[in-house]
Amino acid sequence: MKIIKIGAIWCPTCLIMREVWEKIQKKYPQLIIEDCDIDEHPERKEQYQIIEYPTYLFVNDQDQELERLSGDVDEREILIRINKYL
Amino acid sequence: MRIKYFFITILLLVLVIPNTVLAVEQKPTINFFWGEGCPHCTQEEFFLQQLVQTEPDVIINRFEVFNNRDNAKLLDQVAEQLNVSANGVPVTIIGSNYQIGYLNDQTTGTWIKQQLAICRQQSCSDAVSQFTQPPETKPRVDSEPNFISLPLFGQVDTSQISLGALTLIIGFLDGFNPCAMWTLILLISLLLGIESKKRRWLLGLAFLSSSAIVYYLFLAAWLNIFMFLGMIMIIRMAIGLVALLAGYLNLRSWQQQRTGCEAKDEEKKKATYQRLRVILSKNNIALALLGIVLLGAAVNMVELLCSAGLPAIYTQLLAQANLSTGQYYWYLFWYIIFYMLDDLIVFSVAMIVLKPIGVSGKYSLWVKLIGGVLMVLLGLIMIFQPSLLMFG
Repeated sequence: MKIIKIGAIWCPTCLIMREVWEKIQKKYPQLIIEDCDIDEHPERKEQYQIIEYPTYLFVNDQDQELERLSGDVDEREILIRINKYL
Repeated sequence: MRIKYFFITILLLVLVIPNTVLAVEQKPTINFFWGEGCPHCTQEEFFLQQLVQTEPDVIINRFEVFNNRDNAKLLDQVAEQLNVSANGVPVTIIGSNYQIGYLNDQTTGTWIKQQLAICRQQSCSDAVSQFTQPPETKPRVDSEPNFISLPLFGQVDTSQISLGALTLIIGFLDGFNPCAMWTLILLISLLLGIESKKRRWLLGLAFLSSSAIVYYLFLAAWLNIFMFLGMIMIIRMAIGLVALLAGYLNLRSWQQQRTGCEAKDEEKKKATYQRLRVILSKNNIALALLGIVLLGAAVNMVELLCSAGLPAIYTQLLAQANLSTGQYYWYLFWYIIFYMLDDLIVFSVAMIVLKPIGVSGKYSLWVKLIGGVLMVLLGLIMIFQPSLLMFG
């Protein structure tokens, strides 16, 4: 399982969530977290049907979406998903 | 010769007596067409109440037109006869002369006194009395304000407490306006990249100050527009509808539970971010300050649209209140203080802990819920029971 974080440099929620993800990465150093800046990859908006930033996609090894979270999310909510799919 | 004197005497009597009789029978009459919730009508009512104390012979016929269809029809009839388009109230008719609106005691008030003086000197045929006998109703005026004694504050007018509370609540909710917070958090994230602490604070406070000043000026402009147009019922109804629509949008946004950045207008948002970067990277502090002040002003112009009606609702309510000129601007000042409070807190904390912080999306959702309910309530009151929102 890997997580694709789709965000933008100009989005304050993405900035605020950065700290939460730093903590998560420390707790799960083996977890693959892919950062995707929408300004650099605008095609991803259509591809993943993004309606708000940041959007966190939990995908399996075959790149299939398992679940998604978006916006200002509690660390606990993210950890529940990580433990569920890891 | 005697016959000649007799005819002259009869002629004089014919000329003088009718006028004397009319002068005795016809007291100067003011026909005052007013609407419930109209601030200028309340102003005129105050003036008329004072006037009858100094000129007790004056008769005042009052006609409420917003809630009374017969009176509204009467106004139409009289307006048609006088060949005037009476789209708003107050309308004051003395004899066959009229005045639409009430500016102040010095202008409209003086006009009323002059017309009464004319009617005392010569008979005035009342343009209204031929249509009907007037009902005796008055605009709601609290001639004696209720005062309570509070520690530290002294004597406080209770009718103004509710306006103060409303200023606090609406100003505070408006402060959580997503556009304002959006730019501030981006600014903070970029300011944190600047080494000089002094420069960080200076640029941040310059942005907040220019935002506050521009927003204050816009609110003052709204207020003056509503003070001028407040007498037109359709404006109050329109603002009531704006409040309902804004309330609905807030509640819908709350129901959608979105706490992130909407995936829309990415290019514009990116451009604002790039502009901020360019401004903050200027070595010349004066240029950086100028840029940040202009950006603060521009952002707040957009914010007026972004805040979905709260400033419009508040200034309309304020315009309805019966306050002195200084008091209007004093309330606007407090509105800005509460509007800026959350921005100041977020900025100061971020500069102290050196981390970009923001208001949690969950708090924003609460603000949307409370703001939405408040706007719907205010909208309904503005449309159906405007007198409840008349303060002072």
